[in-house]
Amino acid sequence: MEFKKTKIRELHANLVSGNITVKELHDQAHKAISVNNKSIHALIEVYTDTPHTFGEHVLSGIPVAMKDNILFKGKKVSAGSKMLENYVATYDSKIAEIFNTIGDHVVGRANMDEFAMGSSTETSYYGKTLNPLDQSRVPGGSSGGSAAAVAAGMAMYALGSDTGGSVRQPAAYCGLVGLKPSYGAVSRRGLMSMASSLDCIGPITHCVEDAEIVFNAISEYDPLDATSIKPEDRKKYQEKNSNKKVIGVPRSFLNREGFNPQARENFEQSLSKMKSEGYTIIDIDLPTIEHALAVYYIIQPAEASSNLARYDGIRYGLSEQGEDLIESYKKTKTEGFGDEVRRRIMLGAHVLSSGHHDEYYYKAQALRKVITQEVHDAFTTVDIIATPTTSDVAFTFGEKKDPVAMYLEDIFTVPYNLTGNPAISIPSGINSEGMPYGMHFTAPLFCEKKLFEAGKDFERAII
Amino acid sequence: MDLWCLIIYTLYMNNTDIQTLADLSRLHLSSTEIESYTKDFEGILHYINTLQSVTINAENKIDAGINTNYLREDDESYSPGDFSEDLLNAAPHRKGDFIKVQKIL
Repeated sequence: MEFKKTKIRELHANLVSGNITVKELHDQAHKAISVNNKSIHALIEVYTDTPHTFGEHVLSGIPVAMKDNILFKGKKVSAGSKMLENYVATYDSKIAEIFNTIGDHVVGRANMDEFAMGSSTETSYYGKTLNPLDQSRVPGGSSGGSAAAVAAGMAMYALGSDTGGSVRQPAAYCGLVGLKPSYGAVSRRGLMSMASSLDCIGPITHCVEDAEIVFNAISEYDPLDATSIKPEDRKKYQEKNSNKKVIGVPRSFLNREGFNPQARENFEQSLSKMKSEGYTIIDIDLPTIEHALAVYYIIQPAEASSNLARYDGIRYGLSEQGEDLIESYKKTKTEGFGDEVRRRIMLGAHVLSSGHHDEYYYKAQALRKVITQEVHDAFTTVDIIATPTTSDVAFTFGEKKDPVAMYLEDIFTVPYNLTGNPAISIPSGINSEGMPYGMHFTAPLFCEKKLFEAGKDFERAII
Repeated sequence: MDLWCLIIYTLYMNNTDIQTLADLSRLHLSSTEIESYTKDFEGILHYINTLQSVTINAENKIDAGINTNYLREDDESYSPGDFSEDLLNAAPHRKGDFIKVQKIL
């Protein structure tokens, strides 16, 4: 059963009825790995010790690829960095605990931009990942290995992490569904921190129904993550929201340079198709959202530079010895961190420095609140906010040379990491070269259900 | 320094500024790298400095978003020694039950 032509529920039913075995599913994944991984380079480590048994859970026995920043005790995990090349996880993430209960059917560690900093998976110390749909193009990032593994049939689905679009953008570029859950819905315990107030773990799948199944499995409250939201509090948000099928489009935000006309046409056609599914499309005004990316590029480096200070060569990871302690720190960090990570650590140091934190960090925090309020207020009149996932299809290697051009990749996805809202990217057709576009839906906090309902309607509408 | 010079000074960084940031970040950079980061920072700071012209209306009511951390009682701790060996083994330099570090003072 070809992974992309089936659904998780269908595979599970076939496992239960005995039509297929877990071994056959994994053999199929490993065959795709042996044929494609050498060229695509989606997985940086392949596991061959997965059990051949399965349990009751619908995900049990189904091959999954795991981004290289989620800890499984006793297994290597490197965040795509030389700094952690030989690091072995000393504890289980909440995700690992969940998957150990379901039955650990992880096929391998998926490549990623170093410490999740990037939009193309080009910054990985272990080499770039290619887009399986066109190998001259990037798979997106930072969860590019996760998306490429699914697109190339090496796994039925994958987990990634999304700090500014790192699940949704690669999903869009590889023709897949990518979900960033509400902040606080999925535990971050054991996910290597990049920017703690923005990081979310989410699934990359072939269809919305599969994303819903994976989300339901991983969205457990975790008392060991202080930012995990309790079920009773999630419910308060859900009670306020009934689906009246109204989609809001922030028009002024879309009128920007660099939005490819073909991509715009695809987006408009997608909206018309939702109209034919009974949705009302209205324009909404989110006046401050155009500043979201600038806000993000202050808050994210600030948090990342603080989080990455821990890699000092003393407790774990790479350790280079210098004449004294300071020299050892410098040698270790210089040797262990790649170009983009260094750039963001220095940017973080700059925006947090005593002379600048008022104009940068505090201003960005204040604007983050304003953007959050505007999005929150928009949901009093609409159920879903729709934009494209990206301004164009996957770009070719080396196309984005300067950092700002790369950062602009996340223009449409970043706002909802700042606000915490759940968001999903769903394939919305292809361009004249056969490369996929993504439709991006956002819903009120903890209303992932609305994304799944609208998402399934959308999938039906575009067939 | 007149106001215009001050604005330009705040917007852009020179090689010395990048060297200072590298020192703060505990990084060794070559002169070529410093040149390259100075150029990158020009573009990045130009972009994020667009925020300086945005005014925030203090009267806006802001009540959205969840900023609450749920702190728990520290009563679910692990038994002593549960992780000691794993953590000590991860350390690059170990001496018995200690992580060995260079002289600090």
